[in-house]
Amino acid sequence: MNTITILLLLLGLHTAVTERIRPAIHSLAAQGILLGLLPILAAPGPAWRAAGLGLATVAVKSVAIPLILTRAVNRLEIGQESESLLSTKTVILLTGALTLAAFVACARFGLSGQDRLGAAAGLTLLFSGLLMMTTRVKAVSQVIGFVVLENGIFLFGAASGSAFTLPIELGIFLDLFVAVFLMGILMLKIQRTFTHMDVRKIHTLKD
Amino acid sequence: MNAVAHIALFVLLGPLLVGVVRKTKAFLSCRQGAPVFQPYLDLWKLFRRGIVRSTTASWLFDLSAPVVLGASLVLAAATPLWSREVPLPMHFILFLYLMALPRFFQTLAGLDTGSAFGGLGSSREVAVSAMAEPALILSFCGLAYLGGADTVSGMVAGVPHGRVHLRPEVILLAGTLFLLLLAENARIPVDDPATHLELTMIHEAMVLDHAGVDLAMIQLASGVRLVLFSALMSGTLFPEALSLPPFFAIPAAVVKVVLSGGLIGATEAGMARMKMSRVASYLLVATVLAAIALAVRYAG
Amino acid sequence: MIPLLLLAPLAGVILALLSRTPWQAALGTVVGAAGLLSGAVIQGMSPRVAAWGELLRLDELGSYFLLIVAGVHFLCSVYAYGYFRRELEGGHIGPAKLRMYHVWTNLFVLSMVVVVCSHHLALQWVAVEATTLFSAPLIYLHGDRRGMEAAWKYLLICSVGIAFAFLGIIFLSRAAGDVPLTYTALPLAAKRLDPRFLRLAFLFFLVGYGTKMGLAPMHTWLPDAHSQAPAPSSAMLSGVLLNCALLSILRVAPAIPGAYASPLLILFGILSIAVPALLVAVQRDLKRLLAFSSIENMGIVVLGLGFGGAAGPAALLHVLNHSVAKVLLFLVAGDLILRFGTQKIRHIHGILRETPLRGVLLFGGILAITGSPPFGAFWSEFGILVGGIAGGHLAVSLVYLVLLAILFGSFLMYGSDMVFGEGVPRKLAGPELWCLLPACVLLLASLWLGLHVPAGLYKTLERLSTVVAFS
Repeated sequence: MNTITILLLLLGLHTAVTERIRPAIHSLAAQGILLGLLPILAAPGPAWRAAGLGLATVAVKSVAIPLILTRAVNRLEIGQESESLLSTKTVILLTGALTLAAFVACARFGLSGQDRLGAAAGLTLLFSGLLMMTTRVKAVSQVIGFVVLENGIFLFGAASGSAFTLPIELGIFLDLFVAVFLMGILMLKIQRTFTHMDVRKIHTLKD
Repeated sequence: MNAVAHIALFVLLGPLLVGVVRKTKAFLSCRQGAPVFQPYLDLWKLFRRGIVRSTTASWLFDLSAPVVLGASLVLAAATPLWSREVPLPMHFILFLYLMALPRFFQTLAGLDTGSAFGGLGSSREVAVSAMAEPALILSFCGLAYLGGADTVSGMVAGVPHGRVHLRPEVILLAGTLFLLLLAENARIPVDDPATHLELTMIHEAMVLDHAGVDLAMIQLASGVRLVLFSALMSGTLFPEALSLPPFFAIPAAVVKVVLSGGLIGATEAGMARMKMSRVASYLLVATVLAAIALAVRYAG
Repeated sequence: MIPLLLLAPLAGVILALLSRTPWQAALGTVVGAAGLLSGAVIQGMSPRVAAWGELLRLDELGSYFLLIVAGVHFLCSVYAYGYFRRELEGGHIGPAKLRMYHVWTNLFVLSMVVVVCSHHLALQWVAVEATTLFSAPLIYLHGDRRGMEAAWKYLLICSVGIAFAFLGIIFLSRAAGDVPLTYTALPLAAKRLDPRFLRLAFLFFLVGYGTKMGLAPMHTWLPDAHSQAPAPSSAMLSGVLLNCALLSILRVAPAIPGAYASPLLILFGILSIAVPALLVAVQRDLKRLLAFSSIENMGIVVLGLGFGGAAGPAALLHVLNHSVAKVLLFLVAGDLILRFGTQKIRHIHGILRETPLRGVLLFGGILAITGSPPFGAFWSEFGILVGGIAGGHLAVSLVYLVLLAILFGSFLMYGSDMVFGEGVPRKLAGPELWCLLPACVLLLASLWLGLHVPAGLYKTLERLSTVVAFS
């Protein structure tokens, strides 16, 4: 369980730091697989339920979402680079600082041991995702940041051992999937109207 | 007696490791490559050659090669390779300073020759190692926390043995050590040890003016340092191997060294050398990973 | 009862999908809305609590919000018929897109009904996220650049907000342990739950659902989204979606100690009033202006809830008043925009001379939304002020009063610019019954609420405010 958490943390950091879009999407897929293992290892309740959850997670996070994103990347003919408003070194430093902050926050909060690791890793992914969403230039990267954020929340929840009933959990997955799906569609439509994917140039509406 | 044997093992394994790295690299590039024991023959050749010395070089230049070898051997005496006991238990801060000492002398020697290449190599090498310092210190601190001891041998020996799932901070630290190994020993992706092109040399430029015995000493020292780092890395990952009786431990050490050589060779073959500007990012990543390893340790 | 309430918008969706012309779809929506409204009224009049399994439960608070949702939806669906007929004739929109409007709108309403009826907080979260997803296509219905931009911002920012709210749910479940995460079970167990996690949960709920509600500083998506959507959708977004987000925060309130929650609410509330007060003076777009007004009014509600005491029922009353007045304004604005062909304020003037009815409606609406007598919002805003002073928050109340005055002045300025003055002679179109009728109904409702707050309503609100009071 610890190993999976650490791997997730490293993958999340890789997604946040990498300069190209495709490795980021592959990282997302890998994260999805690891997250799918989590319910099997951690969730209480009957085995079939855990397996079902795990499968749903993998289906949504490792298959569906990367597919949507890859299709968007292919169709939109955007470059391979994932540009950022900050330089790579700054991003690395910031992500490292956020990780440490997450660990300190969790320690401050009285969690300990495995709980703390999972909670801190989840928070790190959350912050990294937020960082990606606010500092990346291309819309695809913003969506990737959003998925990382959701992964972080999922990890945080798994570490806290929260158990929801099955329909609610499925509802959560559905929400995530539809959200990314809509974002993908919107990206395609933006491409057709704007002929670029640079969100810096999207600011016709302002006060 | 034990001290001599310990250091002798490092000296013997150094060129072997270099040879394994080169062979692996060649093999993965679909080449035959030089035989594994070639570095021994190279050293033998170099030791019998004379030195060509620049007229502007001073006593510093003469001193640098022996200092480099000497310091590396002292470091070797402090590093556990096949047992937890070392002839010279050393506090890790002193260890780090001793690692910096040969670099200091080599840098000055590079400048001392008055050639452009020397200065170029020196400045680049110093830049790289300056950026690698925080990562080194943090990872050693992490190891110290992990092993619960100050001395390098104590650290590595003290790494907890839980193997059901390899502890996350151990993996992180070992990974960081590997990244640092590549940086400190001038391996791809930080520096290409086989290049002699002006634009691409870092370490090689610095030692370009050494010849004969000097060069032999420097090459031997770099082999020893490679074994040193490999010993640290594999000791962190497989601390049990240090507890074996000498009969098994020494072959185990050889195996560890060969495996590290394979790993390094595979990494070198699989990657291209990074742009200079990206070396900084690489080392920053190593620093951040070491910091995270510390944080994880703090969390557990 | 609850299955029927869910069935009504669902029927609207199915009818819209099956319809062959947009008018059939519109009819389907109206029918569904009528069904929803009658169901809500019947449920509202009966004293029993409706429940469907463990997950859905409609209590009095839920009924109150449901009535607002159903009423607004009905009026907007009637309005949409006239509005989109003119848009279709004017070539602003195609029939296929119009059908999709009805599909998305009904799904949107369905998700809002689920939010209102939710018993389990995690289900409520799923439903709130669903409202974001179903309303996003409405924002870029016209398919133009600005709509895209607005929809992108909306989707991204609200999804992040919802993610934070989910973090709050995780904290809540961590605090709750074995207690089910329902709004009936939590307050009962509140005393023995871990206070740190409860507080964290509330903070994240406030920030997360507050993003959806349009509280500053998370409001940045709101002016864009509400101004780019077609008028009936803007009306629903401003009029009822914000309320649903508010309800999600209210449901967890009884479990949270007031000493912790009140300062937070007051802070967000006053900030949400201050930001529009500053920005309203430089607005050039009519619907954007109205969107800022929504931010302000949500801030007022949250401020009232933070004050507590006598301000509690006033805050809940303001929810109703704001919905009435804001929907009125958006409907009238939509009509005016079609008529004048622009959303820019300086191109719209002389309304009173041209079409007196619309002028009266617009000016009345502006008076209503800024809280001047004789309209209903006056009582709710005044009640909040009284509650604030009574609760000892003198400085905040003073700032509140000043900000209200600033906003009143700004809106009056815009209103008089648009309503009075010389009109430009233009082709007079016939009175558009379907567009104006709902607006008139709303204006009269606001007037009625201002002249005479029914005693029954006030008693109900007092009861409800104790339900949502902090522990």
